[in-house]
Amino acid sequence: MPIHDPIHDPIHDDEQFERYLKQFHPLAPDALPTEKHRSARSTFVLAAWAAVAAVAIIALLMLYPRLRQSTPRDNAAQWAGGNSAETPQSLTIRSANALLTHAPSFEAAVDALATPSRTTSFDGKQSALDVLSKDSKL
Amino acid sequence: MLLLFAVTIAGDRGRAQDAVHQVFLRMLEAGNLRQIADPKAYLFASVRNAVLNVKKAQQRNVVLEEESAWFDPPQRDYAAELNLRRALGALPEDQREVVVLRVWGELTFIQIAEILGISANTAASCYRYALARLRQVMCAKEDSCANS
Repeated sequence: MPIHDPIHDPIHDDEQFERYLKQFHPLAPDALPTEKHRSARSTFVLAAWAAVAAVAIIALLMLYPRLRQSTPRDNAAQWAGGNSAETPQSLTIRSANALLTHAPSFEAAVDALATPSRTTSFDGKQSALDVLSKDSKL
Repeated sequence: MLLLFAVTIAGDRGRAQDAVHQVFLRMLEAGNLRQIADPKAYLFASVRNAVLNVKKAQQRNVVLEEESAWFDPPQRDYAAELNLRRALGALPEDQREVVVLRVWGELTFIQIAEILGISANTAASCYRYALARLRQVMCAKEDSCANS
């Protein structure tokens, strides 16, 4: 007895043809967007933002040393443009002690403390005030 | 089954899916499925109404979409699937509805009659005509049928 192939054998009656048609199964509909899909989408958005933030941080870290290098130069240029000799220096106990230790006299140390910009640097150079005070003593 | 029925009326899968979704959304909102005597027939009728409303709103004849498949064919015979789709598309709309409701919806002629607003006898004769025409179209294209 030949094997019956319902698909490729001739179809003679309605019932047989109906059975043949039923072998075609309707495709299932697409799934509706669910919470799972939404959460996956939000995770993707979060990951994208995290990636953008990471790139921004890396860019800042790469640019920061360059900015830092350029800033002291700018400051130096700024100081050079002004009168560097008159740069005000804050008086500290340490600097006062140093002045008292290295000053040729107590008066000179006090003068240096009173007018730091005009003080003697005590490394071989003397201020104009010091010279003038010596002249007046003579 | 519902989607297939909707596709055969709507013409394209996207519109059919929208109609089926609308029906289920309305049912969820109303929450009255338990009060219905024949839920299966009610669902088919609701889908039909939803699709017809969309068609009415668009005021145009719907051409059946050929690109997207409707069926998962036996033995991956996609040519036969396309053949069946074209044969169904060639049927008049009322006959197509009856065939889909009967073969894939597995409804009785009484249920089909209620859904389509016709008598059971009309549904049965419509089915016989549709099946004969379907077979004629399909067998004219398939070599295996041509031998019969």
